[in-house]
Amino acid sequence: MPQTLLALLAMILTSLLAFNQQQSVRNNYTHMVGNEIEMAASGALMTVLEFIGSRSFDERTTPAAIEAAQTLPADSTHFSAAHRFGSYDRGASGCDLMAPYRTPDCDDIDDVDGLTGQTISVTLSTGLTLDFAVSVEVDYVGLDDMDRPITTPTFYKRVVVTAANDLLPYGRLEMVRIFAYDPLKAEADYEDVYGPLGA
Amino acid sequence: MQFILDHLTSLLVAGVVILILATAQLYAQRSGLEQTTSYATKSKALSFGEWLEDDILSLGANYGEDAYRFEVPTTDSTTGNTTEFRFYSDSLLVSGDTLRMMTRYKLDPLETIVRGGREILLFEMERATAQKPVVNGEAAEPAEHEWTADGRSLSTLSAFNIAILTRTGAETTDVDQGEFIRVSFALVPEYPVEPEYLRELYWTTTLKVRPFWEPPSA
Repeated sequence: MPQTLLALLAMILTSLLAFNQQQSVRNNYTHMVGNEIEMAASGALMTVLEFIGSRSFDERTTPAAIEAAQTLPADSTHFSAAHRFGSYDRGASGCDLMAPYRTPDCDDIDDVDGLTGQTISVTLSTGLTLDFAVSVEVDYVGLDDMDRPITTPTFYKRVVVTAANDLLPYGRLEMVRIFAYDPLKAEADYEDVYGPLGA
Repeated sequence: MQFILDHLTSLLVAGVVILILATAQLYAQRSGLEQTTSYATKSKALSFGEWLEDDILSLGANYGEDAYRFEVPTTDSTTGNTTEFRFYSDSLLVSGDTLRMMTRYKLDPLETIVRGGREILLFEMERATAQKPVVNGEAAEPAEHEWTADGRSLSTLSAFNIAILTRTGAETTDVDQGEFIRVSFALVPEYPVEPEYLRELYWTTTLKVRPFWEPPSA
């Protein structure tokens, strides 16, 4: 009888050890998969941020607005109010984060504010795609504290893009970038469409 | 025989315990190997990506207002891979002359391997450089022997693609319209562990090239 009990105890302990080992292996796999998905997500978010930055800084600095005013904004008071970010002037077709040429009305940085759950796809070499749900937030920030959103228009806009996928570590990946108003870029974008300013 | 029959239960239990422990040990060993392989592959992918970023963000240095700083990538229509990509930057010498630094990425097929039941064609991306003096704003085309392998190459690629994008994200073959370069590649682990967990690691990024626009007219 004691020997049988000892044998049972050995089986139980061994089973516990095996279960723990399996759990550890499973956690390792989950971690490795998460790392790979994170690499794909970070590449996709880099692309999204680059295309957001390629847009005009503000509605007031788009080529059409500069053409109407025949001048570049000299100070931040001319920029859009914070409550007018997002759908206010981005048009009915919304914003395509990976192919901005498809949504020409989404032409300045704050037009992408408030986008949630927008799907972007990363195509792997095998032809399979990996989808992420992307959300974007845009806020004005001040030079003294670039982590704190403010409502007063400034020369700096902070863009936070978040990609969500169940396979990511913690389910999401976030990237932040601050874009500064560049009058040279605004003028170059204008010149690309209308020719030299003031000509 | 008597000994075995007398202790049959114990022997069975001992056998099962040893089997369970051996299996757990095997799984742990395989997991450790896969972790190491995964880490090595990821480390390689990140290093290679960093080299590519460094190259592409540096292209066009000292080029002035001339927007012609890279060639349109040559693409293989069968595989969709970029087989050749050239880009340039200038170096200003003490003498006042200008030297054009040319960099070339060339993708050569190597061998076909089987991973996860799928045949994968491996490629080697060879990075080579050449230097030519700039005369009247132009530099001569280097001969093949003037290209020198300059490191930062990789030979376990399963896919490699470079695309030129306009400011609004559309692919273009017009070098003057290119404002972004999108780079993507996939590579396979060098040490496969059966059954394979990590078959291909995929990396992509989009980079703004410089100079990214011609300065506005004075």
